[in-house]
Amino acid sequence: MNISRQITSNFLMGAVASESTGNGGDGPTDQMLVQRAQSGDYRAFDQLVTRHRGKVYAMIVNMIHNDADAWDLAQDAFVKAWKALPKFEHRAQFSTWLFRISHNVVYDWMRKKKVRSEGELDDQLLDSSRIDSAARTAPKIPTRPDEQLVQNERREEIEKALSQLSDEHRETILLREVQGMEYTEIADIMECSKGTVMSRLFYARKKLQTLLKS
Amino acid sequence: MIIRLFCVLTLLFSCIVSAADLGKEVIGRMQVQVYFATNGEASVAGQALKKPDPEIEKKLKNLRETSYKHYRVLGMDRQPVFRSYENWLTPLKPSEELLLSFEPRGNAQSGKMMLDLELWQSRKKIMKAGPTLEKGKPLYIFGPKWRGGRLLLAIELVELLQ
Amino acid sequence: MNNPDESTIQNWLKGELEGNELKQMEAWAEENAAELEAKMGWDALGDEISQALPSEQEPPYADFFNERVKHHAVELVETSPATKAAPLWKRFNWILTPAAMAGMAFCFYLGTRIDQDVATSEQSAAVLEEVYTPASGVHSEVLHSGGITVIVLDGLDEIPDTLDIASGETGHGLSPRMMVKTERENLYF
Repeated sequence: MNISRQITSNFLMGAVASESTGNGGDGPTDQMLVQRAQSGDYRAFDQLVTRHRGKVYAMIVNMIHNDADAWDLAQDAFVKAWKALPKFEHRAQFSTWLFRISHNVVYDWMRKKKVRSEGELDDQLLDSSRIDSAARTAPKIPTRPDEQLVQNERREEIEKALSQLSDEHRETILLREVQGMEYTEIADIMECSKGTVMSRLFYARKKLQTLLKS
Repeated sequence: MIIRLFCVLTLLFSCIVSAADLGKEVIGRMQVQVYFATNGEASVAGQALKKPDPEIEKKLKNLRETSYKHYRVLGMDRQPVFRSYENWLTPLKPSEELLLSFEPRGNAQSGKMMLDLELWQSRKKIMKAGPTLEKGKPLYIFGPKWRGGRLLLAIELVELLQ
Repeated sequence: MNNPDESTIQNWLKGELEGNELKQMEAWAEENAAELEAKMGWDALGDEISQALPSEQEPPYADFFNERVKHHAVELVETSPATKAAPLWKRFNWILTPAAMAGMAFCFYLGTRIDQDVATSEQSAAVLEEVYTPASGVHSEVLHSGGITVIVLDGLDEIPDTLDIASGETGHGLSPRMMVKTERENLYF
């Protein structure tokens, strides 16, 4: 293969790889790592942990607003993923499958904490007065201190409003608006129909609009 | 010059190794027994659980805070006390619902040992204390409730080697 | 379903549609999600939420995080719990509360009359410099009686009845035994 073809080939391979690695195209794809991990290569799984821990941890923190417990639960999710890896059939993306495991871990934890609510009631765990805004991360875009203050206040308002949704509505919003997942992925993670995802999503949006206007 | 440097380094290394060894010296043994105390049906804790020895049961019944009717032995653990290192007691292993960490504070004196003691429940620290224990004389802790009863810990220095 | 009217959409959002009407509305919403979002004026708030909340956040002690996962996934030898007996305690659940209350009242009465001669000749078993309970709502009482020292911890979370600690069950969470003391102190008080 001559140089120009090599360059073109590498460029195309890089582009294809970046779509499925989620890591900018460097290194093996999730699928490759999963296959290696499934044959017992823990180092491959460790790479998956490094690659996905940020998203899993963020999702859990946004759900339960407790950094220490989220740290534990995120690890639980990965440990469960490792143990369930032989059953992963590559029909869905690894990240979707991992989010489903995280969903189950969080809900099991909430059940044990006996704070699960069916409706729109403020549950004890996510009582907005208990949310520690100091525990939140910095906003994505660096800002001036005065802008930072406004952003922090708005973030608090959004978190407070989210805490007033039920677990399912809140999770739907987080998966869609924060994690940017498609409806089918959300349905897969939450183990419900797409129709249910739609109704939860639009209900939650309407509720949030009302809460954030007042 | 090089030989002198080598000798100094060897001496220094020996000192470090010796110091590390001293820290791991076993100076005693700690034990914790966990009992399930209840006025209800004791078998709710588990059908295969044994009653404590009659003498111990009598002692437990005479503890000030309790006159629970029934006791069952839930678990026990015994671990060495290291001179300068922390160690753990896991009386309900493999469950880690209750854990105790302990570390001696200074040398034992007059047959007594001062310890830093931490009690953990559900992987959270619930108590920190600095008891001075004497061999054969337990410290009792009334802990969390469970299945209509309460967990009672008997923490004891069972051996003192200093 | 063609374009649903406003009242249908509102009823759907309130969860008041059923049967075929619900299915049709959900199918329409799926096909026309963007239109529905525009109708609701959602875009701006959606952007705000995605800006305000992190989609990714490195966990604290990230390298240690990975080590802990590895430890629990691979290195820990798991012992299977003993075969559980049938949950006999459930059959006796109804008597626990009245029995416990009656027992505690009786205990209190006896406690005022109990003979303290058991170990009067012994000195205190444990001298306590301090007892500290970090969790809020938990307090301790230290009792010295008849040469015996007792710490009573009140206000602790109850261990769930469903957790079979006698058989080795344990709750969620990272074991503090696996952490270096200084790192443990940072996470757990």
